[in-house]
Amino acid sequence: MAVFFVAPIMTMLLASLHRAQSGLTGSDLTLANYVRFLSDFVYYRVVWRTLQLGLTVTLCCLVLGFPLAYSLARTRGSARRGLAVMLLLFPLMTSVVVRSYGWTILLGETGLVNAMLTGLGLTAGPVRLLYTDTGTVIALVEVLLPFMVLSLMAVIQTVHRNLEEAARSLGAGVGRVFLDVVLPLSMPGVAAGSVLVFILAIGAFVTPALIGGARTLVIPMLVYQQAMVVVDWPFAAAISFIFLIFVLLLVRLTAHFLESHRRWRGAR
Amino acid sequence: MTRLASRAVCALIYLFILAPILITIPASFSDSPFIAALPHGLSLRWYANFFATPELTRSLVLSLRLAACAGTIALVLGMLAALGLSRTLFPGRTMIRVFIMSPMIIPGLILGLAMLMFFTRTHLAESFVSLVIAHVVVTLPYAVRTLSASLDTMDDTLTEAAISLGATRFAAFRTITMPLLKAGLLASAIFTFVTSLDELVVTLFLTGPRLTTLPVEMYNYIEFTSDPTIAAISVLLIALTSAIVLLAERTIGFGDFT
Amino acid sequence: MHPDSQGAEPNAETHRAPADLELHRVHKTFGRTVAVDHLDLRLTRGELVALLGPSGCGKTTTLRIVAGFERPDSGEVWMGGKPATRLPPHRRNIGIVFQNYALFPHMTVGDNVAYGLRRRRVPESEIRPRVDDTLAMVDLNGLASRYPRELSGGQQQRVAVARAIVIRPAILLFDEPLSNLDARLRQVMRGELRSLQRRLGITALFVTHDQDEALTMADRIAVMNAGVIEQIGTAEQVYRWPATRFVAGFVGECNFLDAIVQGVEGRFGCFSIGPVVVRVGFAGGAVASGTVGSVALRPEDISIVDSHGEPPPQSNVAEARTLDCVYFGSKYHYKVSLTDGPDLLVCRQRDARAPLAPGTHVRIVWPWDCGVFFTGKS
Repeated sequence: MAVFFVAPIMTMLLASLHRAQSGLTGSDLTLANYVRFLSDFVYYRVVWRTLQLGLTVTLCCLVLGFPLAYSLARTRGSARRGLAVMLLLFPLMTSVVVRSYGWTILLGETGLVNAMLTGLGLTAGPVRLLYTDTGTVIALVEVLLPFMVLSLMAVIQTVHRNLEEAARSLGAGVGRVFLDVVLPLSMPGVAAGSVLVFILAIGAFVTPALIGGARTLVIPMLVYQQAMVVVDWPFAAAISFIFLIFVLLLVRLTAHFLESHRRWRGAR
Repeated sequence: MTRLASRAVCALIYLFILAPILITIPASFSDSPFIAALPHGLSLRWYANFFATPELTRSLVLSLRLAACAGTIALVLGMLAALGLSRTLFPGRTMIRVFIMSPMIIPGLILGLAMLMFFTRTHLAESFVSLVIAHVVVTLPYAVRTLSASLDTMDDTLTEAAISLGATRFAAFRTITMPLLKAGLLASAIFTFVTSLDELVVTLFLTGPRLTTLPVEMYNYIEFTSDPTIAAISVLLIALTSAIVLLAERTIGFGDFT
Repeated sequence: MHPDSQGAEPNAETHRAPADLELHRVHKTFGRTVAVDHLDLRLTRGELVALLGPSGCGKTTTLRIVAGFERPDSGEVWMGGKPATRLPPHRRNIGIVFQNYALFPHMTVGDNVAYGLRRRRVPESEIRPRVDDTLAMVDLNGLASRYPRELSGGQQQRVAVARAIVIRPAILLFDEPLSNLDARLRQVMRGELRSLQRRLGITALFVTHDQDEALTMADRIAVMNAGVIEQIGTAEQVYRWPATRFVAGFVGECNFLDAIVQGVEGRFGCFSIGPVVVRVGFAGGAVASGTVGSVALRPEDISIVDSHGEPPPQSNVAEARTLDCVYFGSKYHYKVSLTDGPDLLVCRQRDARAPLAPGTHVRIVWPWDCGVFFTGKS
């Protein structure tokens, strides 16, 4: 049973090598790389852009995901729900390359989306979607939506149907029921799902690379560039280590928040 | 009235989720070398092209081998881990569980870079072994999660009943626990195999000109060429995944996994 | 059969008062199962009607149709004389007490109770005193700022009731509200709910599978089975003059003895139960000789008497032997076997006499007026 420790530990050992100045054999440890990253304005732009992307994607996933999660959670019959969930899981079982490639087809100038838009008369000519931020957002939302839906679905199922019926019987219309009952009681799932999607979004590499192209530079692409193209391993390592710390902090904070929330909710 | 509206909205969202996958199907049959969603003519030349390109087919074989190896190892390790985690209570149990699950949360590129550095240091870079190790690390959490869920829902009193009727601990495991876990094991096997097959980001850091997996090859191909061969490969991959999933559905049925 | 007892159709002559709630030929199926079968029901202002029946008989579905959570496939629902079939739940003026209370866990008791008032845009200044008054009515003074999870089951139940009545609904709906309480608390709550409902004069529909609840609380009981109301009437009507075999068996204990019609004499028929000939009334109209069916007899209507001496007038007499005796504290249940006949359950209040040992030869009697004959095999 101790065997499975070894592999992940090995990888973590690497982190300690990140402070080398140049190459991996350099024995002098320095923080120069970190300083470089944190002080150069150019990199700030990249970070900001990545965070922006993450937030936009998370928000869209929330808005699109909640209705779907709600109807799935309220579907009667476990066979139907099982089928619906499986349909949701199916994209997760296909490689991110396939999905992103599919989006390049859809978003291209001769792609389906443009064909639909011009066909319906919504735009005069083909809209530039590929190699833009908008396109990246759309594709990332599609890729990450199942995660959000599954998180939300799990928590909505814990909100007893009776509570909604009680609210309705007391005079609350559909919108009120949502605001007063469903949303507050789903917050743990909303938080968990959002954090998950956010982390996955800012760590996304393939989709921004294929859809956004070199124009949308996000942290993962920056790291890849530094590591494989410029071959400045230490610098790439420094960036990714900072990134890792950020992610871990975020996870820790969320876990803490969820735990205290659960205690507040009590047994019920 | 509103029920119809909500059904329609859900259907649209589902369509959105499945759109890129579905679009590769018609695109793969196009007879022109340019990407088009709705092809004018139909042909199978891109499928033929795939099989005719040695880099692609070699990477396919490698991917399959890799997935089989890593999947099996992850399954066995995952079984041990899940058993240990749910049956015994030892200090630090939660911490270890979090530790094992961590590759799911940590962005792939960090893992990839870290492994690249490590394997270079240990002179394992660009080897089949390094890929296997990497894939096991990435797929292990899925195996552990699915198997833990199965174990948790299994009734412990069944084992106790078997023992009270005269079975040894091992016999009870063999005749009671294992058969009941069949569904979980199958689901785990599928998850690990498919995840390994589709893995891109981490693998991207660890591959080289002599050793690439199919997703990596596809990624490189897309960067340089824009013909629909990739669409053809995508369709084949989707078909493969669907076949596996359908087969599993027939044998066990899904219900509520995850 | 008692002239006032009612079968499945409510008697039009006796309830001329305007109905607060009316269901007309309400029909609902789920897939291939018929949950509610062309049901008719009328409730007048201020009365409490219990829907009594086993699980799956359609009583909860009927309640949900009244509440508006289910739409009937056909038929109409009328509330206060106005059509309500298509009205969504939040526009019907109803108050529901759920089986699991359905209290909003993220709101205080006070906010829970105030919820309906807020939805009705009652001014805040008025809400506070009303909430406090209602909480006092259910004996929950001063708990307005607590959370549901801090309260006991019984207290949570009262909050649920308070929440439903504070809005002064036209109709109160109870969905087996007492099932989650322990026996002692259940008895107490029965009385309290009943007096509360009477005091406020709100029409109420009460769903339950517990016949004691129905018998003690309701003005009228509607006994349901397989989507149909088999009988609706007062507790006495339903208990003493059951309209169908199902009602006889479901409400209270009942003996069912296979019998064959020998003849008809006025109100009563002659039946042979084994070698014994008895006289009892008919559940429906008189039937022809030779018809096979069963006689339903309540254990407490049968008396065990001295073998010697005159049997009382207009009574059936039979010889039997005791088989078994179960002690219930205030009464005994004897299992007796008729000579060459079936076994019966007899219930006798505890008195000065010693309990009978098994195997004792006894004579049992019961009046012609007690017991009903139903056609068909049991």
